[in-house]
Amino acid sequence: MNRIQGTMVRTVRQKITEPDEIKNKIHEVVLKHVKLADKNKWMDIKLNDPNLKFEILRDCMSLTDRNIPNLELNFIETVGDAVKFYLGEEKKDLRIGHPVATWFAENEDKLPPNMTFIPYVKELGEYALQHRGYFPDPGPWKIPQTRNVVLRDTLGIDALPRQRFNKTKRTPYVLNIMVVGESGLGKTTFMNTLFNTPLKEEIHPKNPQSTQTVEISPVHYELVEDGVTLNLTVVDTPGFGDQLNREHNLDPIVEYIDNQFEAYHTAERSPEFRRAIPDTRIHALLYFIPPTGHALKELDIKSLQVLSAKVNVIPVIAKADTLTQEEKAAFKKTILRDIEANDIRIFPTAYPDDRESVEDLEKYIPFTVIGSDQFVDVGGKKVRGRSYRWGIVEVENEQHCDFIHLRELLMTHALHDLLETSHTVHYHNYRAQKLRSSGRPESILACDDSYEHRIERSKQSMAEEMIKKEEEMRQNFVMKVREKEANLREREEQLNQRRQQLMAELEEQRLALASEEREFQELYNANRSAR
Amino acid sequence: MATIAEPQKMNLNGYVGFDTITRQIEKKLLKRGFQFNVIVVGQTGLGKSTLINTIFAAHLIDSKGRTSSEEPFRQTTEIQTVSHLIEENGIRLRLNIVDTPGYGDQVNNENCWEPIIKYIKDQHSAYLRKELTAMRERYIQDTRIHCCLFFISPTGHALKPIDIVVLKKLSEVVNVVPVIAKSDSLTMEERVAFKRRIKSELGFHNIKLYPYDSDELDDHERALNDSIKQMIPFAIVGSEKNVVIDGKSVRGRRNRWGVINVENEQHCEFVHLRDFLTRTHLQDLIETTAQIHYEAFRSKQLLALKESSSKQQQQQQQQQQQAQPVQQQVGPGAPVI
Repeated sequence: MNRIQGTMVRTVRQKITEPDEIKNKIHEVVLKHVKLADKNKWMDIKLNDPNLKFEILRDCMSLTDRNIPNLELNFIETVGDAVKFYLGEEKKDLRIGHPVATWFAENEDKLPPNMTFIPYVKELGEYALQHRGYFPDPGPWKIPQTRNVVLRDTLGIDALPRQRFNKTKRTPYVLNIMVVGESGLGKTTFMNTLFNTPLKEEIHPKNPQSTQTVEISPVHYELVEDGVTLNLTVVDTPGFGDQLNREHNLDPIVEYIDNQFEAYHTAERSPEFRRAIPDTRIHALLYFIPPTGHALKELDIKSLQVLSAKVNVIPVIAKADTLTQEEKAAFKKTILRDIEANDIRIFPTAYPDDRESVEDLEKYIPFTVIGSDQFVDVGGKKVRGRSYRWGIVEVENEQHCDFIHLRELLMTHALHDLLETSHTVHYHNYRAQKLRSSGRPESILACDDSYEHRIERSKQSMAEEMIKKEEEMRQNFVMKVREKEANLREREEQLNQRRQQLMAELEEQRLALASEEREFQELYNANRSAR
Repeated sequence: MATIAEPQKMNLNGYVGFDTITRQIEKKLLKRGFQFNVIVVGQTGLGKSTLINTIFAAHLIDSKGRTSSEEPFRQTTEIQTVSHLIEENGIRLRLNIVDTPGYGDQVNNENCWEPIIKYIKDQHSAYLRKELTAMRERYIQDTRIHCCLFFISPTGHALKPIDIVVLKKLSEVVNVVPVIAKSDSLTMEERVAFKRRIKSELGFHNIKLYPYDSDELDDHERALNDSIKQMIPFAIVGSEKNVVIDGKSVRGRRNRWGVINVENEQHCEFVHLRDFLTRTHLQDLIETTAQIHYEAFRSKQLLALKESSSKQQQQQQQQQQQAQPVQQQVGPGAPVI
């Protein structure tokens, strides 16, 4: 390349396309710059030294007349990589035929000018694209591509899960369950059955006429199984659905849930609690549906809609021994259709994080349950059940009800999922709502100034300018009007003066004329009388 | 006024034949047929329609529950009447069944009983109007409700506030028979405890249920009534489908753990309810409606009518008095309009 007064003139060469030729040329270039010990290992030479890299690649580029784009430059670490690049095909433009790219091309005039589309290419790794749409700068933000490494010897990291497990086993788990449903559906009995302990004894049956409003009564228990401690809180809602006017039945429940979120939120922000925040948030809500056989009632639908937006809701068909097998299947179908039609998100179908283990249990949703505090004798064994005159219903019999599936879902599979979902989805929803309503901007980092905000701001500034200009114009106008008025007044004055002048003159002339007339008359009269 | 003398008891010398009057009445009644009107009151899903179909052993009414998600919610209690004519052994019974879909189903259930009370009173007032007209028909068609079956949900605890309020209001205008619906969800002990609680609550709130005490009953009727009162509210199971038990096809429900025979006294009290309604107390229900409830309504209405008519007369007299001096003021030449 010649340098003529600071400009670079490239001598145009014929494009070399044959692979062997390319290889040879590169070989020559390398030899020119590097002293090699082993001539055959020229491809393995590392291009760590930036100067060396620059020299070699520059020569390659000029020889082959093919520029290496910045993206690739970073990846070329050895000469072999460079050779590979040159031998490889020109990377086809992924934008051809890409639906987003075609849309970009079509709507180019509507989009801001500095917006470009770069198709995602997996092999290049992920780039943190600078949000103004400039060509991605593979600067310090580049996340390196991970490469699989095959271990030649045992390392021992397979003990990591067990270490974690042992550590967490010692910390007590927290589970807060809320049960919601009309009185007499067997909620208390069910909770006793679920945890296989008499959590709450029904000393005397509740009187639904005495409750004017829904009470919230949380009770705390500590259960220990196999070294794992579970701090269980069961929140009962006596009085739900019992009054004549049930429009405000949900308010105490929603208030309670929100209060728990609020408490967690304040605890999160205070410094001393960060390590072990006391978690009183509701992780699961069991909604008891009465076994009518028809579709859901209005109260149920409204409650489910409100509650499923705030917590994980698990619908449960209560007192399922009233239904025959066919009635159960039809009822479940109707309920599922109702749930879908009303946009109610139930756990776990709406939170698909760990689907494989839960899928075979999902087909039983909504679960039919039967609760029992008593034990009956079946075939010599004592099992939980209810004894009727026409037969004995067993709680843990899969043929009779879905209780064991529900217990499996809750305890074995989804316990952790419940805790996680209630934190990541519901608590974050609450937090976002709260912060947004208090006027906090979406992000307090300056570089995250989103595009919409800039448009808003520019719109605002434009509007302000407009207003200012309008004001100016109005001021101008007013001034001009005043000037003109002043002018006109002056002229009016002048004209008035003129008029007066002229009138005065006219008057004078008239007087003069009148006096002359008189004179003439006198003379005439004098003349006549003299004859 | 002439006093009616004490009748003297006479012994008959021969056979006269007026004891056949009962058969003559029977024949007449057979020709005319009977009329029986029932109203069923209860929340959705308690099996009201199924029970009616079971009692009368025929498919008379359809369930009006909400079965698909596209159906809208009923915003108020509706009244739907169905009329059937059933015949058994030459006796014709015209049966009116009044269903009340939407009762107790809304979120706010205040005043959900008003359409029902209004309907019952309307039937009374229609009958009264027909009675009062100058040209009375020979035989007035009776649409007054003779019996109200009130369905209680089998919670096992106690009556709900809505139940208490509606029972009170209904028992003042119609014969109420409470019934525990879907009682196959209660074990025997639960059923007994539930009934006891319900009875104590009904007594506490002073709710009068059919059958009523009366001085005219003789002993065995009173005994029958007492046994009925013991059993109220009836714990029943309804079914339109047949199941095979011991080779026989009976109405029942089949579950994985057993078969419930609707007509088995050990399983539920359906037989008692059916006998009570159709075999023993049918005529009594009709009579009580006419004699107690209708008479109470009638007397209230007529008293109110008399009061309002006397008030109207007073008003008219006042108007006439006011009108007369006005007439005198107007001159003789001017026409009096």
